[in-house]
Amino acid sequence: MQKKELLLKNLSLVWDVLDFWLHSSQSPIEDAILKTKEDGRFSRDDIDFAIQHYRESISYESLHKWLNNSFSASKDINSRLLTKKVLCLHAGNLPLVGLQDVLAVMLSGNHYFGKVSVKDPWLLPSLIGLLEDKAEISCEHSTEIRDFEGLNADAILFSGSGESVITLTKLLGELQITSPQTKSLIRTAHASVAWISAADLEKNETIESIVWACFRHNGKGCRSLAAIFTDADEDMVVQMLSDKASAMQLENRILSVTAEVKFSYSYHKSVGRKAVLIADTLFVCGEPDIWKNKQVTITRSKPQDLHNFLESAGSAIQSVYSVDGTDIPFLYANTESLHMAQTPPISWKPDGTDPLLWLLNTEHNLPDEV
Amino acid sequence: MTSYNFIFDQTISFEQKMERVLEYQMEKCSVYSVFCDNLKDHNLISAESAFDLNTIPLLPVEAFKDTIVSTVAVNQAQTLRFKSSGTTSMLRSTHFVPEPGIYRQSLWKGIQQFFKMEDYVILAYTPGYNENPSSSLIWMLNELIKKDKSGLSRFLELNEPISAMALDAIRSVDKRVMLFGAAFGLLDMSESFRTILPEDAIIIETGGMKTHRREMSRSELHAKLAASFGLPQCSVYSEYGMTEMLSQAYSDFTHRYKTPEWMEISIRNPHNPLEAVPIGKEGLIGVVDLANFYSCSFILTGDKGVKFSDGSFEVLGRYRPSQLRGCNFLIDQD
Repeated sequence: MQKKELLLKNLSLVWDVLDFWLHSSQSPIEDAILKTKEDGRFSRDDIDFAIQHYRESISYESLHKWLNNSFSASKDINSRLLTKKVLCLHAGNLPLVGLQDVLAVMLSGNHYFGKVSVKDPWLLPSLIGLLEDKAEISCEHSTEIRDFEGLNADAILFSGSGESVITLTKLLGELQITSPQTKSLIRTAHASVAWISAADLEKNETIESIVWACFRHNGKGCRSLAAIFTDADEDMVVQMLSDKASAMQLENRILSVTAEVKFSYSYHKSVGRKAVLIADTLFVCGEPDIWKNKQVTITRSKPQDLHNFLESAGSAIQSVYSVDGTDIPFLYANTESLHMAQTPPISWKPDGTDPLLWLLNTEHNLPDEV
Repeated sequence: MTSYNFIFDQTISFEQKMERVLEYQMEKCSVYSVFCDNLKDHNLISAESAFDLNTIPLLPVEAFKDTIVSTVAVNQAQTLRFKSSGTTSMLRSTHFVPEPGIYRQSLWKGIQQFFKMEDYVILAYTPGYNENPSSSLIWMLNELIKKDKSGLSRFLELNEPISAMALDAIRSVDKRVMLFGAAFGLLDMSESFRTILPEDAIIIETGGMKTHRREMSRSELHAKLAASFGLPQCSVYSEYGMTEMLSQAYSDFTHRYKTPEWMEISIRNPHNPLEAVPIGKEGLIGVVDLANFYSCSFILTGDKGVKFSDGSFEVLGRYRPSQLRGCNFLIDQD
């Protein structure tokens, strides 16, 4: 059988399981959702939101399109399908944050090995267990990294940066979980930014979209909004956000404001900077800063200023949003729709790389760039 | 202006001096006073708090960039205005020093606690004072050079080697060479010109671990400098200072810095800078520099460091949060 036929056959198997997992009343996902809610690490609203998003966005058609596009773009499409060991290390900052990687490995026809986060230990395993039972697809998962000792994975996917990557890479080598030949896809982007014009603010849905881009999943995802660039008056933007958040009763979602945020707020006020606490997050008018948790900066600027910032921030930026997703003159960057900040399609490209395409190329030891 | 002389008085304890400075700056330094009031509003400190070194509120150092940090009007004729390095288009810190005498005393008494200055001739490998009057480092070096009675201390010409004649002149007056400069500048010099210094010479580098080529550890830098100038590594020292501080700390080959008597370090928790971390643990370097009498003595830097039980501390580079935004697989948490 040709490679593409094999992958499409595989897709059908995966989809049958996914369909059951997402939509059946008998699915183990329901129990996993309950346990995740009981754990209390994520808000119930965010868990429901994530599940609902996947139920609406993942279909046979969307997976088929993803596979088709990636396959067409991959190199050596007529070669044999070689099944490799692919290890995914899943962070636990959002519910089901690793789902795209799991599906990428499955659709590429490789063997999935997953280190599941102890912070999100129920949802992914409820799918992985089904894949093994119902589709007899080879996959293994554990919350313990040492359970993968001696794996010598052919490829590894995870997110991280700086010192954490150095420490982790050393440990993985010592445990022979990876070898010098292991190909790695490491995502480093931390946060996203947006260009919002004064005209955009006149549209009803803009402010609500900004609020959810900042607050969904506690602002912890790399697609969460950390800095707003605008040609509107900063004070006006802050006031609009504050009013909207109040109307949405956002304070009901949070437990407490951290000492770090209060300290930062005290400082900004002391130097005469406009800063407002909205729920548990500090909104500060002034220079852009994407590095602090629970902080969003609002900078009065031109698109060229955002362009300059993107050049200096480099790979730290995940997405650049505009309200309609249309490109902005003088911004010189591709933009995504702000409305889709927290609901990207299953085929979206973290750090600009399609993980499915990367895996399809990697299996043949072809260059990583896609 | 209120007199500052008590801060150099060795008969008064540091704690007593700190309390006096705190009282003065709470009243006269508006940004610090408002900052503390805001902390009280958020119940991070209480109105009745009695502070010690490890609980005193520390003002983030970027305040010197964001506003005027001063206890007095800054338009007086003799006021020094030091600016941090950077281009004119960048926001730079400004440190107003209305009474130059306090800086003169601090830098001179401070360095003498570590080096017997009458034994040395200073060769400063930095741009000269006339080209950079707003650099606090260069102002300091200029003062040290003026104090040398031999007349041999000077700013070296950049991009030129140290002449053998200059070294001979220093030897002839039975003095030692103290080569002072920014880390990257000295490295460039050592790579451009092969100069073997006299065996009793010392080098003091003033930080800046990033060259235009790459970042390097302090140990690596010192090894390179020592080898290039023909000295043992124990002859290479470091100075920890900044535009926002009027005092300097010095370290030897152990890389552990010590402070002058009117300066102390408190390592703070980055997630709550009102808390100190235990001795031996890493955190944000907090500085209590009483010589900052006319600005703010209580500063939270952006540097990462660790303090030891003998009061010395190590500088570990710039602080970067370990729990960054976004997806980040952390082996000890995930």
